[in-house]
Amino acid sequence: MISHLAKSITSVLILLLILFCSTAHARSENEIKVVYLYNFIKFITWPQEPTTSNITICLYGENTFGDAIQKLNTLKARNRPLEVVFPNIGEDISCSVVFIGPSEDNVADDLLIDIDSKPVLTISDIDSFTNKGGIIGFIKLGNVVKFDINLKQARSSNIQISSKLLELANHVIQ
Amino acid sequence: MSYSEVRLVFTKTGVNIKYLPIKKKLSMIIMTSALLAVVLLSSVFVVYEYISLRNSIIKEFSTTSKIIANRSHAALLFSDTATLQENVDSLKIHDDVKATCLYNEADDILAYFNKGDNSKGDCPIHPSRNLNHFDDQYYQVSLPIVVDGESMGLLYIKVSLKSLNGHLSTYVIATAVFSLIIILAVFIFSSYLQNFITTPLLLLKNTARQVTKNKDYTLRASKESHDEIGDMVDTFNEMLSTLQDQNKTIINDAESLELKVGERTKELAIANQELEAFSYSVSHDLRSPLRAIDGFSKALLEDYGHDLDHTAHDYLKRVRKASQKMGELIGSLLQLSRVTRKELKDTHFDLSDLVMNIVHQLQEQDPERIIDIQIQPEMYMMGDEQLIEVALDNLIGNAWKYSKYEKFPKIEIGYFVENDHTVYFVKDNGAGFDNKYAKNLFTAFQRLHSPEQFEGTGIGLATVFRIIQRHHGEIWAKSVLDEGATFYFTLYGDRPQRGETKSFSSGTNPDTKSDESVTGTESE
Repeated sequence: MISHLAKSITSVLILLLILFCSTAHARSENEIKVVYLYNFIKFITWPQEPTTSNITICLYGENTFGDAIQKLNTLKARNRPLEVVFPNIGEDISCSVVFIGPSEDNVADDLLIDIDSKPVLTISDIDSFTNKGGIIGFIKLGNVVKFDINLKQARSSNIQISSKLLELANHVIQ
Repeated sequence: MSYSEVRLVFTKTGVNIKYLPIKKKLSMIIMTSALLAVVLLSSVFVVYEYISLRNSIIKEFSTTSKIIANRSHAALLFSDTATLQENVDSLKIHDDVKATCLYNEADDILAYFNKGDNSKGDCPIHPSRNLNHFDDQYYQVSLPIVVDGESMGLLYIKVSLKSLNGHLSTYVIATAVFSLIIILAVFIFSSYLQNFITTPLLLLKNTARQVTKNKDYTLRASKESHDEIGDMVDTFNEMLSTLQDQNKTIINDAESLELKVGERTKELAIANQELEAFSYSVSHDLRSPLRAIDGFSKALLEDYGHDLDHTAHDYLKRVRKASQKMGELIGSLLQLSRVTRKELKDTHFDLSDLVMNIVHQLQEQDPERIIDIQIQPEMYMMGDEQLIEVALDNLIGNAWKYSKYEKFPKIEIGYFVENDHTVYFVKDNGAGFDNKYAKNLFTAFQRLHSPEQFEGTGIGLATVFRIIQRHHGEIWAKSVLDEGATFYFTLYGDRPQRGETKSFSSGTNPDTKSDESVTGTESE
């Protein structure tokens, strides 16, 4: 009886631990992704630059980044201030960067079709994002966060990606 | 270094520049100049090379580090250490790079390599930003990696200077070797070229030496070059020509002078002969009638004196006296002529002795006279003894004679020295003479006293004067009437000048009164 209870408590504890760890792990991974997101912008050149207008970062779906993403509002990249917005799907906003959260997996394709060849940097951590037509897709190789780049799509969107970034990509679709 | 310092250096090393032969002087000048030029030029080039090598290293690694840093931007941002290491490793190819370290902002080493031991040892723990530092062995440079205005990390490179130093050493050695070769070449060339200057000079020197040694004024220096030395040679030759001409003139003049002298000597010999004959004639031919006059007068007195009255005796006495007087006169004149003709034979003799003899003789002739004679002992003199005897005979004789009326007569004979003049004196306290009429003292036949007072021929002093003159000396006298006279004379030198400062004196001047004296004048 008691052993059974102990067993179940232990398993719950273990489960909680794992959850905690995974959440913790997931949080640092998300932090990394925020940093990467910020850094990507440094190596991207949009058409009709230079301009000092804001770089709008549109996040679709659940905010998996937490407060960390808000920090971007205070930063500048490419001498342009960043602006993080959380639009609803279908809203007409001009974004420089679009991040599709994992929760919007099913609508990802439609979004991409909607964006088509507009000069928008599409980033996501959805599986095979780049194969679907996204420009940068986060992947995970073991415990390390890496990314793939769809250069073909970038070119048709008139977005220039620095070779320095391309160098670091895991896989580049040309 | 200043000129005196250079001289000091050379004197210390036993070489005085002044005494170096001209060839060596020229060599030294040329070699020193060449050496200076070569050394300065080499130094300039070596320094320039060093500086430019350094600058090229700085430039090269500035570029290199910028490239590497730039390429590492993304890798740094995305923490891609693999790519960072790849970038850093690309510097391994460069032979001179010893170590490269890539840091993040927190000074953690993200990628590095270290040739040799591959430890992190060469990576500084807290590297300074914008390092650009040379020491003996290494050049260290660091560059902050800046992405989008933000410093993300630091690239540090350590470069070995071995090859640079090696290169420089080779450069210096090569320079030194070439410098030596150049100096040697300069030496060889200058040794040959300096002959253009030294050869004409040496030729001239040799000619001059020949002329001096052989006293040969017909020699001429040969003109080798047409520069200032050539001009000097021309001038030298002109000088020799002048010397030659003047020498000829001198020789000619000497020859003609010789002839003249020969003639004069002949004439003189003839004159002397005539004088000799004259004296002989005078002594014999004049004297014998005189002797007859005196003799027969004496005979008359002796044989017929008893028959003669007083007046006749008186007349005869006068005749005798007059003829005797004439005899004396003739004697004095003969003496004077002998004094003039005699060949001077200088000897060193005892003057005191001589004077003593003269005094004795005088005393013998006049034994009743008592005179205080003071003769300075140990007086020695250099002169013709016979002539000096005649002179002193006259002087002392005069002193004897003119002290006749003096109650306590005194005669002094001595000498004193003043500077380099030796002055002899004969002093008496007799009648003296009036300085006013003294100009004629040494003139023949001039007498300052009447014959009733003092007998005399008037030739004595003229004779003394001539004797002193022949000894190239001077004679003068000082006197105060009725108090005495002092006669001074020097031999082979002039008398002390008025106002001459006495730096040395010995003996005592018997008259230390003011300089009112009479000097012997020439009048024949």
